Amino acid sequence: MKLIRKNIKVLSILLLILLSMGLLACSNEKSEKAANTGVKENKEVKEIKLSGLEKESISVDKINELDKVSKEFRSITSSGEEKTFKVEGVLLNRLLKKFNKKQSNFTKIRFIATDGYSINLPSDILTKKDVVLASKVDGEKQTPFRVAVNNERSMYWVKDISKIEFLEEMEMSNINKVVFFETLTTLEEIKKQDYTYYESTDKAIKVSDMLNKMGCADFESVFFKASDGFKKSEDGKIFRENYIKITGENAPLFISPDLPKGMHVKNILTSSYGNTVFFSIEEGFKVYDKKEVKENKGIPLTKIINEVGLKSAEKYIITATDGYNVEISSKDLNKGIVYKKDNVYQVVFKELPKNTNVKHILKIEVK
Amino acid sequence: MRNKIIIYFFILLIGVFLGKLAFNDKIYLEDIKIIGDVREVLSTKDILNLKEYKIKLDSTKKKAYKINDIIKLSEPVKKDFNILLVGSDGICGEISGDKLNESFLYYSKENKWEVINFNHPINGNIKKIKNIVIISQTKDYSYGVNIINQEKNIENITPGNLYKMSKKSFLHKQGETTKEIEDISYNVSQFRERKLLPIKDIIEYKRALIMNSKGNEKYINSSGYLELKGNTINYVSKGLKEKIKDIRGIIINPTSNRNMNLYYDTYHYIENDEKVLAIFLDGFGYKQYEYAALNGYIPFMSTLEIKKAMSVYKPVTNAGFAAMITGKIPKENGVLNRSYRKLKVDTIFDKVDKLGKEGILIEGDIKILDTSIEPKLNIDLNNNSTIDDEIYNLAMKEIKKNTDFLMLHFHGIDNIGHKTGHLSKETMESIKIHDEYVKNLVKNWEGKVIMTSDHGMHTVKEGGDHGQVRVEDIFVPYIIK
Repeated sequence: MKLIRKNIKVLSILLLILLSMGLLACSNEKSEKAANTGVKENKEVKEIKLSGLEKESISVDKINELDKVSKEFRSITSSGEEKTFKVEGVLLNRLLKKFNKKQSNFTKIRFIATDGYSINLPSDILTKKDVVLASKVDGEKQTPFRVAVNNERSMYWVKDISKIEFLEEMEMSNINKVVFFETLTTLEEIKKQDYTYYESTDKAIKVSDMLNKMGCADFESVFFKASDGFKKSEDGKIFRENYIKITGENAPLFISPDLPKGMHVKNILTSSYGNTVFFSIEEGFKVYDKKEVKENKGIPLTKIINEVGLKSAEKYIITATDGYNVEISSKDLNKGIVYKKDNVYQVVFKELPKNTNVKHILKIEVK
Repeated sequence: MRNKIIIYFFILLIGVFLGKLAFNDKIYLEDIKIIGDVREVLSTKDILNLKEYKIKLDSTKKKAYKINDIIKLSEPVKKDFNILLVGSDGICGEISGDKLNESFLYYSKENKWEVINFNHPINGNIKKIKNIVIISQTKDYSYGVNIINQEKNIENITPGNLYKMSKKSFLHKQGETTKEIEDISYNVSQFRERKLLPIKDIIEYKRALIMNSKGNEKYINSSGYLELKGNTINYVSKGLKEKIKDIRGIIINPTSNRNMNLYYDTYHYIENDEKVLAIFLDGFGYKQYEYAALNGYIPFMSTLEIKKAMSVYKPVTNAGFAAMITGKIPKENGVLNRSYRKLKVDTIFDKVDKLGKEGILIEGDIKILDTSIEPKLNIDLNNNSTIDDEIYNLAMKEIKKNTDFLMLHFHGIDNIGHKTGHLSKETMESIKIHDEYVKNLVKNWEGKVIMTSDHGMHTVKEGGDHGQVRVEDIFVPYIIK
C-alpha cells in the first residue's frame, strides 16, 4: 500500500510536468501562427474606412453580404518559401462594382491595418490579379479581413484591415491620336518595298517608318484587332522591327520573313501602340454600316472614335497629309463620316461649312 | 499543505522550462532544401519524416539522418551525380554521390544543419547548411535546358549545374511597407536578392526562341537571364518583369519556318480554291532528310525545294501533330505531349469545313487526336509489319475522288527509327520506300502538296528516341510543291 501511495506521488509529479510541457507546446504553436500580425488593437472593426471612392466608409457587414469566393492562393514569404492557403471572402472587384469601378482603374490601392501597417498594391498586380478581402484564411476567421493575392509576397497579405485608400485613378483612355492607315501609306517618306507572299509580289512598308513618321516613342507592346474580330497583342520590339503588307491578299497584314506564320496578323482593323491607334479605313468599310452625309457614304466618325477609344475632349484637330487642318468640337465630330472618293480618303460633316471637309485625311488628334 | 503547494509550483516551473527546451528546437529549425537535378525538391519537414540513426560525435550519441536516405527520397534524375553542400556562410563542399555511405545530416543548436562525413576529409563537414544541391555528372541533352542552333546541339545546362555557374546578383524591389505611429511614417523597402545568369554569358546571339515544359514559346533578344528555382530553370526577361517557368530549350537564331505552317498554308490554298494534299511522315527529322539525300535514299524528295522547319516542345507525335493541324503552339492548342488528345482550338479540318469544302484524314490503326472529323483507319492487312502500304493504297484511291484536302499520316519511319536508330540502314530503307510513295502521290495529285513531320529523332543505346529540344528532334523538313 505504501509503495502504491509513493508511486502515486511520483506519477502525479510526472503528470504535472508533462501537462505543463504540453501547455507550453500549445501556446508556442499559437504564437507561431499569429507571428506576422503585428501589434493588434483589441477593438473590433465594424466598418472599413475608404478614401478615393464616393463613400467614406462601408460596414463590414455590407461587405460580407456581397458574393463570396473560395480560392486556393499561394503566398510567398520573405525567404521565398511558398505556402498555400484556402481563402474565402469577397473579391475587391466585387466591392468596387458597387462604386462602378474596377481594380484596374487605379494605379495604387493602399491597405491599412489596425496596427498602422500599410502597403500599396501596385498597378501590375491590380491589373492582372484577383484581390480577395478574405474573411477566412484556412478556416480561421479574420478580423475583419485579410488581403489575399495569389502568388504574391506575404507582405501584401495585410491582416486586420481598417482602411482602404484608392489612389491615383487612371484615365479611362490614353489614346489621343488616330491615324488613318491607308492615307499614311501614300506619303512619300513611307517607303514601299516588294514582298513575296505565296505566289504574288505585293507591297509592304516597314513598321518603324510608319512609327517614326507619326512621332511614336518605343512602347512595350502593340495590340491588334482584325476586321474578323481576331485580337492579339505582340511585343513592341517585334512590331517595330517588322512589316505591314499593304497590298494584295489579307492586307493590311503584319508580317515578316523572320516571323512564323502563326505570328502574322491579317486584315488589321486597328493597331494600338502607346497613345496612337492606326485605323484601316478599308477594313472599317467591311465592319461598319455606312452612313450618308451630303451624298457621300462612309463610316461615321463616332464609330471610329468608339472603336479606337479616343480620349474624350472638347475639341479635336483633323489633319490632312499636306498639313491642312481643321478644329472640330466633340459635338460636331459626331456629324462626320470618313469616305472614299476617287481613291482619296476624306471627311465630311453634316451641317458644317465646306472648309471643314478634309481630303487625304491623315489623323484626328485630341486638342 | 503550504509546502506541498510550493513544491508543486516549482515542479510546474521545471516543466515549463523543459517544455521550452524541447519545443523550441522543433519550431525554429532552420530551413534546408534539397534542390538541383532531382525529381522532388525536399525541405526540412520531408527530412524530419525520415528514419533517424544514432551517430557518435565527441563521445556522445546524436540523432542524425542518412544522406543516402535523403538523396533517395529526392529521386536524382541521373545515376551519376555529385552533391554540393552549401553553407549559409557561403562555404561549399562537393562530394561524389556514390560515396555517401558514412555521411549523415545532423542538427545542433550551435552548427544548425551540419553534414558529418566519417569517411571524407574533415573539410567535407559543412556547417549551417542551407542547400544540398544534386549535380548530374552526365550531360547528355536528355534533361535540363538544351541550347541549340539550326545546325547543332551547343550546350546542356541542368538545374544542378546552373547552381555552380557564375551568376550576377540583382536586388529586385518587392514593395514598400509603411507603419504610422503618432503621425510619423516608418517605411521599409523590401528587396529580394536574385542570382541570374545572363544567357549571353553562355552564348552570343541576337535572337532566340525559348520553349518550356508547358508548350509555351517566346522569342527573345540578347538581354534575358536564366534563374534556378528548386529543380527547374526559369527564363527571366530584362528588368525582371517577365518569367517563363521550367524552360526546356533555347534555340539560337531560329528559323521562321514551322511545321505549324501546314495549317496556314493549307488554309491559304483552300481559300483560293486549290486542293491540298498534306503528307505527314511521322518521325522524319531534318537530319535524317539530309543524310538520306546525301546517301541517295530519297531521289525524289531531294529534287524538291525543301525548308528546314521547327516543331514544338514536346517534339512527340501528339504535340507535333496538333501544332501542324491547328497552327498553334501546345500552350494554345492544349496538346502538350503523348498523354493529351483533346484540342482547345479549331483544326484545319474545321476551317476547311467552314469554307464548305471537304477534308479527309487517313490514319494508322488508331485515332491520335480528338479531331472533329473521324479519320479513316487502317490495319496491316498483308501482315508485313507496317500499315503504311495500306495507308498509301487507300490514299491512291481517295486521290481519285478529287477531295479538297487530304491528309495522310505515315508511321513507318518513326516505328523503325525507334527500333534501330535515326540513321540506321533499316530507317533509311523505310525513308526510301516513303520517297517512292511521295513521288507517286505528287504525280497523281492535282493541286498543292505539303510534306512535313511532327518531330525528328536521335539515336540512343536501345535504338532511337525523341522528345527533347535537340537539333535532331526539333528540326523537320517542310516542302510545298
